[in-house]
Amino acid sequence: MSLFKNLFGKKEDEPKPFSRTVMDLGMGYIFEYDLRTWEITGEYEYDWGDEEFSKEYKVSDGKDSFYLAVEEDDEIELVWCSKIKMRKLGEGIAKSISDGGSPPESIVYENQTYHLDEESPGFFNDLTKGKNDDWQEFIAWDYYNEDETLNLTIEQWGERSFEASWGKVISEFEISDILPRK
Amino acid sequence: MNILRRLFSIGKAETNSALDKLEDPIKMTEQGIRDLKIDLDKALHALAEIKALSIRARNDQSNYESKAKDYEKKAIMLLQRTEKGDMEMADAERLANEALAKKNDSSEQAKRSLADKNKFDGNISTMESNTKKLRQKISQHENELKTLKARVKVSSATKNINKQMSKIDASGTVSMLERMKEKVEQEEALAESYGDIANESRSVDEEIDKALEGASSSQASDDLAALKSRLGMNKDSKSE
Repeated sequence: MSLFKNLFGKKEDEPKPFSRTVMDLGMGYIFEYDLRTWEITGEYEYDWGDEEFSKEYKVSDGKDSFYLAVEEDDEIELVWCSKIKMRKLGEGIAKSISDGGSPPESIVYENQTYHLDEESPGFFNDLTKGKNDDWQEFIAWDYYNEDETLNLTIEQWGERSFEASWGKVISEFEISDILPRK
Repeated sequence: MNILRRLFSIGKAETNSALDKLEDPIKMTEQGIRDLKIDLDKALHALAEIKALSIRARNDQSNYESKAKDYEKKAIMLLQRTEKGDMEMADAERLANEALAKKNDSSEQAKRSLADKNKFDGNISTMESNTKKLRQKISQHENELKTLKARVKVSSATKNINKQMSKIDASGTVSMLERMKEKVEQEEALAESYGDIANESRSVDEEIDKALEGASSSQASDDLAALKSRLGMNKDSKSE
């Protein structure tokens, strides 16, 4: 270490190779989950109002793709999920909602009963290609099973456009070896 | 020349000594650890790139395998069409050959992608081992630095206490007592000297007085006898 570098060298940001968490994830990042290596190939932001935001990442291991939802509300909540066909949840749900009716209080999916937890109107922004102001309005209904280990989400985009996803709640420690990429 | 060289050596030694004093070993160690962390971060970025390449190679392999299966399926379908009479045999065989050639291309690409993936996985394994070593090294240095900082604090506190203690011994009560003792001894010595001088002068007077003592007392006796005789007391004293 030269004295001149010490005296006049530009102070660099402290790197944090030991302290990266799921809250630091970003496009291109690599991490380990369920003994597989995943690359983040999509990044999305949700604005739920009252300064509440959450993130969602599309991840791929080269063979399969999933979504990782990250929300910090007192503690970090992670859901590892994938898109499912809306009709698998029952024929009448989408029609009932688009006709102005309320979503069902509970849904049975693959022999598991899910109960409505909350209805959340919000805005969605796709950050995959960088920051932008292209926010889309939507409304989401979150369902959980009895012990809140499994999650089912129904989203309404526009009048008659629906999406559904199913996933499991995971713990932060299950996401490991987070590697950054610029 | 020899003198100049020696002077230069002295100058160099003094400069190094001054620079050593400028350098704080703890701050230097912290900077060293920061530098190692920067190196580790760079290594992690490189590792991420290789892992991403491996994921893409796996994705390519999967895509090429799907394509190969698809071309094979198409070749089968073409031949099946001739069996049903939906297509001329020559056309079907020509297209089926094309499809099988493409299937082979895709299979070759899939193999290449698999080979790439295996190569990347080998690199990943080596890099992970190296980054693990670097992580361990940094952790070890950080722990050692923590221990050293604690030792420096303890030694600094001990030094301060000892310094205070030594100050008390040097200029505190003990030395004041010593100084007082010295002063008293000086005073006593002075008093003794004065005493000696005084004794010396008194003894001369005393000697004089002593020498004259007998004469003055006989004079006094004579004077007393004369006075008594004048008062007519000599008779009384004789009769007593």
